[in-house]
Amino acid sequence: MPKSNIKEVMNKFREVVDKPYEKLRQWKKANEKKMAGCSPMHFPEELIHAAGMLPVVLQETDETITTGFSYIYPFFCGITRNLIDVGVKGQLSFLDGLVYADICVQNRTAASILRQNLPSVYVDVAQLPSSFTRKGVMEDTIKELDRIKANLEKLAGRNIDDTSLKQSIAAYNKNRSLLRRLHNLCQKNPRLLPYRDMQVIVQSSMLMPKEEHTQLLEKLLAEMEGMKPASVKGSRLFLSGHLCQSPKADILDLIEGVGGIIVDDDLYTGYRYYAIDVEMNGSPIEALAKRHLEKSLPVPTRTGLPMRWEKYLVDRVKASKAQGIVVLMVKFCEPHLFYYPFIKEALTKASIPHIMVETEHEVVSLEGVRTRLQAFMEMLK
Amino acid sequence: METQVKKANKLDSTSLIGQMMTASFADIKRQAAEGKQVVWANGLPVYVLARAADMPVLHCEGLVAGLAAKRLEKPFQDAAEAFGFLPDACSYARSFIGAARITMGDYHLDPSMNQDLLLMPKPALYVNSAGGCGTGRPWGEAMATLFNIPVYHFEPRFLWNESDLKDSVADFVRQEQEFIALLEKITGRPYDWNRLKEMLVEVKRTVTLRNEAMKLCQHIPSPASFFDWATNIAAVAHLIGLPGTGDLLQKTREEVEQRIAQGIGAMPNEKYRLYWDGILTWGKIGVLANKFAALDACVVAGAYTHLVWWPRPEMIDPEKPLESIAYNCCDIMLLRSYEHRIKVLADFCREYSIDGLVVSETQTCRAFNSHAFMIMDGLARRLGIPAVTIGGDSCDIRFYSDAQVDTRLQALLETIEARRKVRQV
Repeated sequence: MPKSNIKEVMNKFREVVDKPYEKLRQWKKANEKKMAGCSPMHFPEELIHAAGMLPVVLQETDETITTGFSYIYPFFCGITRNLIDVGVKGQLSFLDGLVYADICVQNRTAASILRQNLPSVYVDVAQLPSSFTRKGVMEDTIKELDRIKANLEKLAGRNIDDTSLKQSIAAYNKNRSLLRRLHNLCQKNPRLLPYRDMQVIVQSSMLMPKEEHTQLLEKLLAEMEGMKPASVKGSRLFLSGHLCQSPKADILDLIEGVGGIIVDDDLYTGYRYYAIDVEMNGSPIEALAKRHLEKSLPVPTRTGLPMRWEKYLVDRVKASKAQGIVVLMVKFCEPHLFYYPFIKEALTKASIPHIMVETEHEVVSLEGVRTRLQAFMEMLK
Repeated sequence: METQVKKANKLDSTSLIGQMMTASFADIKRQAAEGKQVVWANGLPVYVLARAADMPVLHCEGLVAGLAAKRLEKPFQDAAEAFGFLPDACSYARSFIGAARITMGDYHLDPSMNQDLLLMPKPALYVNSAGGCGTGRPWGEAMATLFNIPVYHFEPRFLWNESDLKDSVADFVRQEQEFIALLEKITGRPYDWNRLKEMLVEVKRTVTLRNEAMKLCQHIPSPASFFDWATNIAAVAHLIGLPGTGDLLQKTREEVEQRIAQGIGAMPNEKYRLYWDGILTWGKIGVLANKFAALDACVVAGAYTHLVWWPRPEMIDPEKPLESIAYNCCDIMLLRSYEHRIKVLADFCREYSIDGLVVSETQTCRAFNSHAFMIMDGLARRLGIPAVTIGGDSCDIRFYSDAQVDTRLQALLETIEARRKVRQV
């Protein structure tokens, strides 16, 4: 594949990420297929896929919040405000269904407000257990997944049998494994792609038909794996945080612009999304439940995980040989707010330099952030 | 000529709450010093289960609200911020994480401060039962990590449909059973079911009396105000299950009845009857009560006081203690759908003859603010009741502005007045 084809593939990914809901509406019209959205982080898209519908992970768009402020206060996080705003403006009405998984109180509020304001859309909330040490959580998770499955079957007008669910899991596992291959490639050969492009690739995977994305990804990898390592100068950085939504490209450009080489991350629109596969043996619903309960990366929206987030981060930063860590915190993200002090303490104890950058839906002046990042990079030298 | 400033006519019995809270904290410290294992808890009063296991319980929100009402909460918040907390995080949780840091000796109080008041006994167990508020999860985890103690997270289900309640209660009972097993493990004693049953007799008496007394405020003029009931939450939250709460509420009920008989109102000249949505700024409780009095407005009821703490007293059967507690932790406003909430609130507004709605923004609480605008809009459409939002926060006084509150209340009352004139025409 000639190099210009990388551009072509990236453009295809970018097209859907730049204006996701407009593009998806067009796709639905062209393909006459049902489509169901799901909230980020905890809902297994495979269930929607197995029902023969296109699963779409809800994304934060750049749209200025206007009508949404008649429904929600400004001190809710960016993606909550944004989704309520685009929802009440009618931009999500093309969806046939919308399934939330209980992440936090803000996310549940968005589900409730959208349920009231999208009368033509089936809106449901998967109340998956969040405390993993409780007795019977596996049974409870399976029961809840079965309930949602039955509702998705009604919506799709077809049954989700074990065979089709396994096929969907396989399609998702394949896509995840390719994303991991790309992740590893970029770790070995940083700056092969600007980090903003890596985000576009992951976000587009959440929006496009999985099979199409996988095909494009294979093409991209075939080309990129043959490329010579780029010569890069700067400090190796680990990016952490930003649960639920992708960081703004401006911030990522800024980090790279001041000499940061992003070698690893635990972002939701990054490693967190593709880190872990679903087991192919046994009951597929049980396998999805297992992925939720036993194989989650440490995450502040769940409790009773075998390892706390700060410990996991220290280990990952060390393994990636990053010189420092940039913690990207979405303003008003309460789960993250409660873990940051512990992360800060653990990083300090492990002598890992870090900087916390708070991000907002409305991009504020980047100059202050640039100065702070420049000072941080000076410190790392 | 000297102008008489109108002030809220607070219930006399409410002043006893402060004394009971002080005595209770002193008692918890005494019991801790004697070697009893202390429990720290947030949220709904399922922690009464631990109290029956002879473990003193410190209710985080109760303690912080009490300190904030006396403007003593700041050292806790300073300790949390020194640790890395940002002011956007729930101020109840943030304050108590600060308290934990102080207890652990990781943050030192200024020697001039009242150390005895601000130093808490170290817990052996943390209980999160923040019904409907996801913040309880990371809050509980933070506490367990700081103290290196076990934590139990109660997870009541959100009730999207009326039919969900039964399943939710059954699920909650299962959690209570698991929690009791944990209590037995920690204390090394079999659980004292008889004590729990006895405690629930007192709980039922207390919450029933409170609900009856609150209902008497449908009378015009209202004999007590939201601010009385806010102070009174302590009796059904932090103090619940302890001796004396039933007697206290008996006095309160009698006082309310007496006021009705004598035609005495909570506000000297009640012209407007209001409903309060959201939590209140505890550090301004007295200021707010008097502000409303000066405007001839009485806040007669609110979600935080009336629809959260033991909302189903009729379901308390001491012979079925777990189900009793489960109903009262699962059927709360925060876990209910918008459709249910708006129906309940509309009935509430009719029953209490409400003229207007005051929505307290509570800047660091997303749970109580989840449907604020839809509730304002829904009640305006159903009943034509005007509403106004006012800034503030439960325990972080920095989010409160007197000037803003004054202007907005003035606007609300003018709207109510204009509507009355239109009706007369």
